Amino acid sequence: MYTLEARHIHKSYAKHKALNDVSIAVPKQSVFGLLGPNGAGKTTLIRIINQITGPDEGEVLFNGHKLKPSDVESIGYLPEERGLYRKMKVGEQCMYLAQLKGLSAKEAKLRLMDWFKRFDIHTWWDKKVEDLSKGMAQKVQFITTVLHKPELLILDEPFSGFDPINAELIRNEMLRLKNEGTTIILSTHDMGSVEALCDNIALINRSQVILEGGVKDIKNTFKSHTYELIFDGTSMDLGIGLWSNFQLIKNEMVDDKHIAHIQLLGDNKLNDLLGALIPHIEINAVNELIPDMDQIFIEAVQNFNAAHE
Amino acid sequence: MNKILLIIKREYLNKVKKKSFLIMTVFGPVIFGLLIIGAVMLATADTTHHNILIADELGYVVEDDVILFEKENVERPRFRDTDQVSFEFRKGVVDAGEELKSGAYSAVVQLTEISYTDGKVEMFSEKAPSVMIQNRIKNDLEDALELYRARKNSIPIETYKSIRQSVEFNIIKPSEGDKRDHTTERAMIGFAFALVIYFFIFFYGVQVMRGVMEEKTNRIVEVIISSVKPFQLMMGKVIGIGLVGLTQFVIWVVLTGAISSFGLAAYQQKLVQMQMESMGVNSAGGVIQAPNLADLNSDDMEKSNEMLEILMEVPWVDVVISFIIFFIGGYLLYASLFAAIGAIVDNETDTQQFMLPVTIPLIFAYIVSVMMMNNPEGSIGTIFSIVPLTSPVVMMVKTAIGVSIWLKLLSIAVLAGSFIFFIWLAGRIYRVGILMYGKKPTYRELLKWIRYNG
Repeated sequence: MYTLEARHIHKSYAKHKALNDVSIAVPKQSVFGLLGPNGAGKTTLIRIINQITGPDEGEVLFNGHKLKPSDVESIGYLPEERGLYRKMKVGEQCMYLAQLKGLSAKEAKLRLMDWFKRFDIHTWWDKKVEDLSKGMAQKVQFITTVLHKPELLILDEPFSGFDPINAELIRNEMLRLKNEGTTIILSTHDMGSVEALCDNIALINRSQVILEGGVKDIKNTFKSHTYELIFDGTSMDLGIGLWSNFQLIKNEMVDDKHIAHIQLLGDNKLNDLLGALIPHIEINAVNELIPDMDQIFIEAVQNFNAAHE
Repeated sequence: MNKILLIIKREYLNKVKKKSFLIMTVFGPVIFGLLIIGAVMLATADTTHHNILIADELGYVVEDDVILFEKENVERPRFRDTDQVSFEFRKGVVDAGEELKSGAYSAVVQLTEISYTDGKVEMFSEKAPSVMIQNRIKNDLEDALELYRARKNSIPIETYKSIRQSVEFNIIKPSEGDKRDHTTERAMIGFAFALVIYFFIFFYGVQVMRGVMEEKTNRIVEVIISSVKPFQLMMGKVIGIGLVGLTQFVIWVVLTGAISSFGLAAYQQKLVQMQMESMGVNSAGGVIQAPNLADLNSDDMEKSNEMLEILMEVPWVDVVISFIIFFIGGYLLYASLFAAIGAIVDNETDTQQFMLPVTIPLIFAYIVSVMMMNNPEGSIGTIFSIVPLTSPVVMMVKTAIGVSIWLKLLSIAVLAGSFIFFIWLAGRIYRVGILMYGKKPTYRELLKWIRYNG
């Protein structure tokens, strides 16, 4: 069951193709990472989902039906370029934004009180927005985004401007909302958050989706069967043990410990490697080297760009 | 629709609750009222008494105008003494500097031979009397010198009077029951309404523009348009600020009216007195015999009767209805264009380039209205009372003059059609512009925005 499906979206501006046959599917109650370099087309896709702009071709399905204007009340959007009316009071402003999302004044007030308590900002109600620090304003913005309990939450760089403590607060809120049933699309350059939060990702580069799937699956496809060995013995002993089915990628001494990165070639398994080495060196630890999202991001984008030069 | 109301409410309350609004709204009329009262006070406040010496080298004026009347023990018709000014006369040439130094006179008027031929008269004074008093003396001197020349040429006064008769046009429209025509005066009344619309559009149009720009630079706009359509946001702002203006306008009219009428009531006595004096002087310009008080009153009456006649002639119902229609139509049209400008640019300095094409028709409409006061029935007024960008201003003058219902309906239809068109156009530019930051677009790019489907 997908909360949101974008199918074969095309979108062009004057001379520039912003989205080229882009399809994504966001499963219900999951966190979906929308990744990509600056200018790849992420914001355009997000704006299409929010019906701020429309696609030239393709369709967007929300809970299985074609996206319709009233769906904006079931979507919460925190844009990257975000702000508040500087001259308004915090409480007034939150009430206004909540009512624009279809909440009654009474309901909005109740929920706001709840959130203000949870974020420990209930003293800010009558403060003017221009008196808030950037981090404080970000908190208010986050609240106004989630207040109407949207089924789909779209967060564009939600952590920018937050200190680590508040970023953690937002991260926890996101997980809590997800557990309560919310589907979240997270667009960010912060790969640490992606690894910590996302179930699935789509990587958009040059207007196309170049990588899509579950975070674990993607990591698996990107792993190169390389292992890190920590051992006692000399480099020569290591070299004697290795034969042509293994490739030594790195071999160094760190704090009196020998560390080697070895890639398995062909159909060799870890056991084959260990079998070959145990007679020569004493192995203390073995770890599989799994690429982090940062590396995957860079590799995928560079490979794509190289192939399309 | 409900959301547009929310936006209107926010725009309205946000502006109305501001201190600056309160200050502008309350103090505006107070200041304006005080200005009116102040102007009246200033005009009447010159209570210093002027003692003026009129020296006459040849002595004819003094002879004719002073000594003659004194002999017969009749109050002299010219150079009459009042609260503010009294005259003394002397034959011959005086040393004006000495006379002034003595402190007996605040001004010395020296008539010389040239005065009798060329009408050049010198007034010596360190602190010249007010223009009103100067004019009085001038008029009296003119009369006196005319009288002298008439006598010198043996022309009987009655003959001279009949020769010296200024021409006054009474324009009569046979189709309107042979009444005197006051088209120009009515045009002026219409112009006052036109001026109100002109300033309202300018002032609140710019406010709309600023508001849009604020939303854009604050980066709140993307949050809002993920909840409402850009068009709703734009119209909410335009209508909300329009209502603020309307509120301010109504309060101003009421307060200014109250304050100035209250203030003027206190000065009415003085005003009437002043008016009578100045009218006495003015009417004496063309009449040799000084008007007595009775004449003066009838003259006054005639004036106010004419004023009443003009006011009665103005088609008030038509004017008020048209004012409301063209006020709203004109504001909506221009405010949406101003909103589009606000959406195009990021900062105030960039607005100039785009404001020009919007303000030029408005200023042009103002110029046309001014021209119409000189030439009320000219075809230029007819044409531009139909052209949509000028009609809200021009049509007010046209309405006060009197206009056929068909022309009016045509103008309203054109205005309605074009404000729908311009709001649509502005909406197209707006929805793209609010999400564009950085370089300001060229007009060619704006055209693309309009055509572009989103």
